Amino acid sequence: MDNLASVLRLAAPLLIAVVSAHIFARIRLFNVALESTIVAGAVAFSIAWVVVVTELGWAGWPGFLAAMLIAALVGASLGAIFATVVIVLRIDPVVAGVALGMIVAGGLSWADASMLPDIAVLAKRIAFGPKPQELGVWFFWFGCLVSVFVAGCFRLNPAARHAFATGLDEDGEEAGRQVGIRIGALRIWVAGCAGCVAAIAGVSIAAMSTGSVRPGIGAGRGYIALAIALLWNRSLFAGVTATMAIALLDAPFLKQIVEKQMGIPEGFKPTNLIVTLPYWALLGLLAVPALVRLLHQKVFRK
Amino acid sequence: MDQVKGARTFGATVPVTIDRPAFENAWVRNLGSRLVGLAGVLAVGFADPALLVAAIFNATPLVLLALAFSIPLRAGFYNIGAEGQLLAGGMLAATIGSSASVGSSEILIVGCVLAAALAGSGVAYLAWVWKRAFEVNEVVTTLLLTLLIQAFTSYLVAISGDGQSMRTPLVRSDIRLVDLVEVSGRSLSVATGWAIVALAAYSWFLKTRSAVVFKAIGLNSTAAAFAGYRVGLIQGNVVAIAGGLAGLASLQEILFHSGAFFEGFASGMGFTGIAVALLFGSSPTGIGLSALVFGILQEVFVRLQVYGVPSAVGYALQGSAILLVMAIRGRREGVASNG
Repeated sequence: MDNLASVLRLAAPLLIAVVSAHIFARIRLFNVALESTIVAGAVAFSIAWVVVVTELGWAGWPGFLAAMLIAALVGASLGAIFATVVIVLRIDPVVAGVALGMIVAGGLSWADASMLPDIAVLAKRIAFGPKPQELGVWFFWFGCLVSVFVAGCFRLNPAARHAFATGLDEDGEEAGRQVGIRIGALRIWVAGCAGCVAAIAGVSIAAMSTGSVRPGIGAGRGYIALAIALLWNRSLFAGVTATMAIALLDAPFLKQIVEKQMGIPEGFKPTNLIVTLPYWALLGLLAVPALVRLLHQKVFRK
Repeated sequence: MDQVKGARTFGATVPVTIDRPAFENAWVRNLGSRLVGLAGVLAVGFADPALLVAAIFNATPLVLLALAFSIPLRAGFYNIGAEGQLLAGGMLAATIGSSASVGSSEILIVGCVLAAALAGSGVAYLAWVWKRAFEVNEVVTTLLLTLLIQAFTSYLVAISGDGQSMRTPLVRSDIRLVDLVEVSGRSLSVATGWAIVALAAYSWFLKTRSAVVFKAIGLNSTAAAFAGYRVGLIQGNVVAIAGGLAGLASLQEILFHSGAFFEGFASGMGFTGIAVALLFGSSPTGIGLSALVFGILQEVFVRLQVYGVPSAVGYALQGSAILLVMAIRGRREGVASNG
């Protein structure tokens, strides 16, 4: 059960980040700054958590939810800024994502140099009911709920359907404009929601973290989420399966098994080598849809 | 609008039209901003030669990384994982340079250069294979490969180093590049010459018909394929060349500055290379000038750390500069197309 819980804890932020990447992809915005948005969410949550508890005295769940709300607003702002830059200023999404990522990373490094160590010390002193491990599992179920909600939303909700339709291609955008939908505003609004979800992924990382929240805390989850979102665009099942597979490969117990099987002497753990396993797996998984299509075509021809 | 002769390269001919007045106007407009940049660089050089030397030192890998982004972009490939290619090249060069016990220094230097270029090419080519064979977005694969190589090189540093300094063993002393210029403790090596040669080669390449073909593929690969170009082959070669350039960007650090592969020595450099490629446009003069400007900025922020200004502010400024320049350029193009 502990092993399962550890996989769920690792899957939680990734699943929520994948939902965010999926929403961005649905409105034809490829957000390379997703990683920075996740980290910004984590850092904003930590700072807000300390301020809310120490200044306002909102300990426990009210303080936790207030801090989460502030982090979500930060993420929403970043998502909306990204969309505005792309849609209104007509800057290439990849370039805009890289630039926004650099600005946020620079800001976070400055925060790290000036206040984050103090924040980490203060945050550790604040006692909170649930343990980080329990919070991780809760966030996993929250991620599942959000993914089902988003998947349903794109099928059932007219506004989300409009956003999806206008995000398909430029013809869809033009068609939407013709029927009176404010395309730009709609896409910026949806991007704000996606940014909000990305920040919650950051909150889950910060809430589970037993160490200090630093700019590198995202550990590439934003980029992995972008890759998994490509799979999710083909099917929800593929996206969730890929998320769980990556979390499984990242799990500490699996690393221990691999290290034992490799006969590595005690005191020397090639953790960095095993850390690359999820990336290799993801590269392989990304090739699967094309391989399946190829196989299907060959079988069909026969 | 002038009709230029059909461009014939790789076995097919397509008519190419260039709107000469618009092109010349754009060139003149960009010239103004470039002259301002050049004047700034010259002013810095006169005021503090050591700062200028440090800026050129910082600009050397940035030029190669900017080319690694700009060249494949012409052919429609977003190589935003140049940092991973640089790390792969650097690690292989450092391993060869430190472990080879036989062979003359000249041969070993050539071996290190080739190894760095090949390793970078290999990583970039892998991303291209994933795009071509499995239709996977190259932005995702180049980023994933960068993360993978960061972790992998980190592992190699851990097993090959002494466990304390977080670096690989030093390369052989006789293959370390010598100082060509030295001002107040800041020096330049032949690696800067390699970057200048790469820039000159890129400048020459832009005047060839192959550049037009690359652009045609970048603008519409389907149309280019119908015109008879072997799109896959050309794009693959371009990506491999770009990866090789990114690999070469590591050599200043490995063979000259520190003589070893330090973990994290290239942190954020790939994205800065993109910023360099975009600031004054992706022309050779634009890349050279913006690399110098970024080199000066990096050095200035290193010096400002003494006064409590974190160097991260410089990184944020680079991102802001990209957004600002791209927004102004987008607005100009919008006005031009509407007018």
